[in-house]
Amino acid sequence: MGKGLVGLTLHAHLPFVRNPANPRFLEEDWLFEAISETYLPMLRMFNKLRSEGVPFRITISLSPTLCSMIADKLLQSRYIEYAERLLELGKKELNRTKNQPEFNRLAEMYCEMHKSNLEDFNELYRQNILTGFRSLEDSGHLVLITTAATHAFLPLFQEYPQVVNAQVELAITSHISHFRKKPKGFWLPECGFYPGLENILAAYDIDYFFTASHSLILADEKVERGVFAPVNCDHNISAFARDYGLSQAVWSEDDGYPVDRVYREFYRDIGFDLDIDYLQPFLHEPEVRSFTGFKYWAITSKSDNKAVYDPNLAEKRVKEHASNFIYMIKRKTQSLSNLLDRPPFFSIPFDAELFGHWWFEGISWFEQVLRLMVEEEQVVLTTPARYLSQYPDNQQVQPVLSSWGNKGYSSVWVDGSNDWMYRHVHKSIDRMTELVERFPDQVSLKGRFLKHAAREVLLAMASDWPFVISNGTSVGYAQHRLKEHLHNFNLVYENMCRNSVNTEWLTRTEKKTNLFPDIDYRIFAKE
Amino acid sequence: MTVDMYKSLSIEELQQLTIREGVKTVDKYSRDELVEILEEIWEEKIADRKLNNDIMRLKGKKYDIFREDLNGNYKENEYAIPEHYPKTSIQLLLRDPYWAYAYWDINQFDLKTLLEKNPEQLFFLRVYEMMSKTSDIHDSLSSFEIPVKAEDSSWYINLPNPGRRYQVDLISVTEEEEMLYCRSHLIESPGGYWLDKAAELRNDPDAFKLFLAGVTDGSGNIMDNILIRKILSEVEDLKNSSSEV
Repeated sequence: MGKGLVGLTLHAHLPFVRNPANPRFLEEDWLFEAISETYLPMLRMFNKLRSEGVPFRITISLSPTLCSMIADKLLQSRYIEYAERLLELGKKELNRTKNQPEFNRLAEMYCEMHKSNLEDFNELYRQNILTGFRSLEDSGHLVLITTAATHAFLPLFQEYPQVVNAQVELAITSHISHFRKKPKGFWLPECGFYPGLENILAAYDIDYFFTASHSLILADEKVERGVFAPVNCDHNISAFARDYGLSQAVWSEDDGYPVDRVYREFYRDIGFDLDIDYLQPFLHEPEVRSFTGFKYWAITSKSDNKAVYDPNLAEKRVKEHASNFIYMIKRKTQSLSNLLDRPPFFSIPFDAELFGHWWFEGISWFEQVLRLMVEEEQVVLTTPARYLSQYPDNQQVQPVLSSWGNKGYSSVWVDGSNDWMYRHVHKSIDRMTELVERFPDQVSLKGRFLKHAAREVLLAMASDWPFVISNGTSVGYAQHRLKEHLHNFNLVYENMCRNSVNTEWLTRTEKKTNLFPDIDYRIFAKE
Repeated sequence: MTVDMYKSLSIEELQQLTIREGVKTVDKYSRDELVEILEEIWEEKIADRKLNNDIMRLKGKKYDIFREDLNGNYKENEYAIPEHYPKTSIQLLLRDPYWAYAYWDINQFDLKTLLEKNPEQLFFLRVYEMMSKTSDIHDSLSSFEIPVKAEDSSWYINLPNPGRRYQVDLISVTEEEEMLYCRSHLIESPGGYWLDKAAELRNDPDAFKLFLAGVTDGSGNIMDNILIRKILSEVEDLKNSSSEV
């Protein structure tokens, strides 16, 4: 039986949610939850495999906004407070559940996790967990790549090549500043691709990027190897299409692994189950109930009648699911054996935050998969970069417009709830370009003013805002953020048109939005 | 968030939430009734979200850390943004192979002048369908018009065919003349090699297997993509018609 080559890719991203004015800011919990439940446990898992000598190599995309927040001193200190608060809650939980052994055991498990998190965060990573990723890249276990600077859904900006250039250029600059290396791969936000984007990426020496399956299946040329090999685009840049079938085993909310009945239920959390007075010190003002991460129930069924979560049972199921995943790869490899002239490459990307956060056992599943791949001769873990060095000659094909969003195109990011924003975001891009033309050489105060305007435009482009609005969660916040960025940009624009600078406002706003400190506003110049 | 989280709330919290959902008089409802009302509203919201694919639904959980309805503290007009912009222009965004979103601005002074002259002024979006990028609208395959009102500023346009290029003019029409206000850039609706070659796919078992392997999950479910489903449906029709023969 032939071999199947597998490229696992994790994409880690959160929008820029830093808010220094508010000592405890609700949306910053997006970051803190991801650090506690995904990034730190994931790094622990990778380090464990490395120390045991288990060979593995996977690709991780870390978004510039996420990196900027992880490296931010203020957010680092706030994360420590967050983790300490949860540890305190854990102590209370140990006491509250002392006569309920099945819950007490779980409270202890969470306390251990928070202790390890704090220890790793403070001692191992000296509060900057990017060093953990860097170390794993240095040892050859990870390939770190980047994505668009503020995670803009690029197909909706294709008429503004200058701003797509800016998203790519800034992403690369930011990546180099955090990891001291130029990335060779690029994660397209939401796998959003349009013909011509490959030329912009190639101009920045990117070797490969990832797309949705139908970007190749529906190409204008007949694709010889389907989605089971990358294609070469003009300028010698390669596109790897996602393997839809294998990804669905994890992604499916209906019958994917994460919804197995023995796994931990995400939504049942003491933050909503217990008395508000008991939770008070851990809640956001004024009494906003939120997830605490202390969850004691298993998925069990769709009803409210849940069984208590049993980690041992879940661990057994993790092993079964990891074996099943390997089996599916082997089965698919076999089914393709007579159709391809070389081993199939399965590109399997996931959002990193899926693991540990929503799918609590996901990191353990990932670990098992990596371990099993070492034992299996017919399944070879590789990376796009290695694949391309092994198979440099690939079919020349132009991928087509696509995304991994609903229905495969742009309908998530342009629908009745969020379409209004493009009038304003596009206008701000036009006006930023106009400012660059009118003020090409500004330094000092006006230069700072223009730099900040560029930041605001880029932040308004984030795919997170239309997604969140369309998805119906945190709509108020997403609308608020978008309008704030547009308003701030307009303020600079109007001031610059009057040849004035609002210094006090600028200083305050720069402190708040400290993203891309070295941005050159002229990246908005038309070519 | 699960529905049973509502049960953990005080009656005051429940009343506050129900008012936010647009229910005006809440005093007459008991605690259980309020929970029931909110549950129904929540189920509707969940049903809407279910229309999304798996990736988007799971991605949403990343942001699911609190109850949005309890967090409505953002003032709607804290950051004012203009309703319109002075420059007359039209933009066209491709949403999927069959739909595009157009938005436009007409200089408010020009518009006012026009409407003062003729309050019944008619406006149209004229949509041109073209075969290739080099085509000019004068040799477009076809065109059609969508009437819009002076107060409209956006429209979803149903595109007749995938794999074609489209461009839109915003025009006003009077008895004497037709006036072009602005023209959008060209957009290209994706099509693909197999779109009009179902017979070739049907007659090439290896290509068909490769195609299916790329669009099917482990349980045999086909990816939710309108063009892929169209191609497969045409292949199926061909199979059925040949078996009938």
